[in-house]
Order: sequence, then structure tokens, then C-alpha cells
Amino acid sequence: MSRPPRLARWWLARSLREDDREELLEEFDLVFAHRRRRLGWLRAALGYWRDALRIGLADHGPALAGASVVGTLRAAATGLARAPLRSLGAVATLGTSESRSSRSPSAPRGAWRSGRCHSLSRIGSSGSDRAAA
Amino acid sequence: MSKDGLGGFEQLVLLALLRLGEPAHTAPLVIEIEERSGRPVSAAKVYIALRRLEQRGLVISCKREPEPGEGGRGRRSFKATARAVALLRRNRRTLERFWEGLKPLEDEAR
Repeated sequence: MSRPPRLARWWLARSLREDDREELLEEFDLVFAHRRRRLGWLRAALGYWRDALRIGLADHGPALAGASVVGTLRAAATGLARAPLRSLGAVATLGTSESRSSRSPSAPRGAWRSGRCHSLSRIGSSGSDRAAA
Repeated sequence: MSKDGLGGFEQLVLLALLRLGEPAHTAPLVIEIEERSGRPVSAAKVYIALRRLEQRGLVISCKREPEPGEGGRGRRSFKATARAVALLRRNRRTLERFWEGLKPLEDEAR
């Protein structure tokens, strides 16, 4: 098994912004390939899942993005047990913001695209060999 | 983290960028941080940190389109700005001031 888990890759692709999607999937695949060689498929796959879930949560706020997956799930379970109605409302709100953020022109993707190629030299020459090796 | 400050992980990302001989891509950056820190690092966390650093003007990025006949897709490269380097230097000086006078601990660390 040399490829990342298909379900995790699907989830990751779904979570990434369209204009960055293919490029970032490739970057994540390179990281997976490196980890698989060093740590084995299982640990590489677990890392890939963790990354996919984290990216999926990133657009819902820096607190979620910075939290561990286990911490996020634990907080969600606690919230659901203590205040089920409020938790379900929060989930519904997240769903709404997800569909809005993917269409909104004010999403942070503008800043992500602000680079100026002419200010960079040796583009593409650094690091790519290491990742490919 | 305050507007002018740098978090610990952000410092690692910027230092790894500089070590790679920027501009660097995301995957080599993740691998560099993992190898230097000796522990697994979330690629997503690096991606999010880069996005945040770019929004703050501490990193600039550029997507190079593939050359004709090269195939594949363009990859985004990242470069630390002069402001980021100045912030890193300031943080280092601050840490060094705190380490001053802690000779026994310094020796233990080695």
C-alpha cells in the first residue's frame, strides 16, 4: 500500500480550497510518502488522517485549527452530553458557515494568493529534490 | 499571539524556511521541521501557520507555473520577509537575556 487512505484523501480534497486543492494534495502526498518510508504505512496513514481532519476544521476558527483532533472530539462529546440542543445548533451553524465560506470572496484565499513571483529567485529549486528523494 | 509576536511553532516554520535556502515548498518544509525537531509534525499545522504568516506579511508566496514540457502542476514556494527575520532576531535576543546567568542549566542542556 503506497497511497494515502482513500477516504482521508477524499475528505482532505473536499476541505481544501479549490484553487489550492491539486497542489496541496500533491504536497500532502509527498509528506505521506516520506513518512511511509520512515515510519511505515500505518503511522503515515494516521498522520494523514490527522492532517485531513485538521484542515477540515481549520476554516471554523483558529481555536479548532490549533487543537488536537482528540481534544476537539472530546470537547464536542462533552458539549453534546451537557447541552445537546445547543451543540446541535452549533453544528448546524458550522454547516452554514462552511457553505458560505466556500463561496465568499472575503475568505482568506485572497491573502494566500498575494505572492509576487518576480520577487523570488531560484523558485522550485529548493527542497523539491529532498521531498522526492 | 500578539500582533508583533511570534508563536513557538511559527518560529520553527520561519527558521526551517531560512534553513532550506528559501524559497521552499510545503512538503520539504514539513520534513525539515520533523527531522530537526525529532518528532512528527502535522502538515496541516504547517500549512495553516504559513497561511497565517502570509496574512501578517511575514511570508510571501509564489506559485510557479510548470515549464512547457515539464508536466505536473505548479507548486507554491514560500519565502520569509525581512520583517520576519527581524522578529526572529528580536525573539532570540529576548531568549538570550533570559538564559543569561543560568549557567548550571546551560551546562545541563549540553
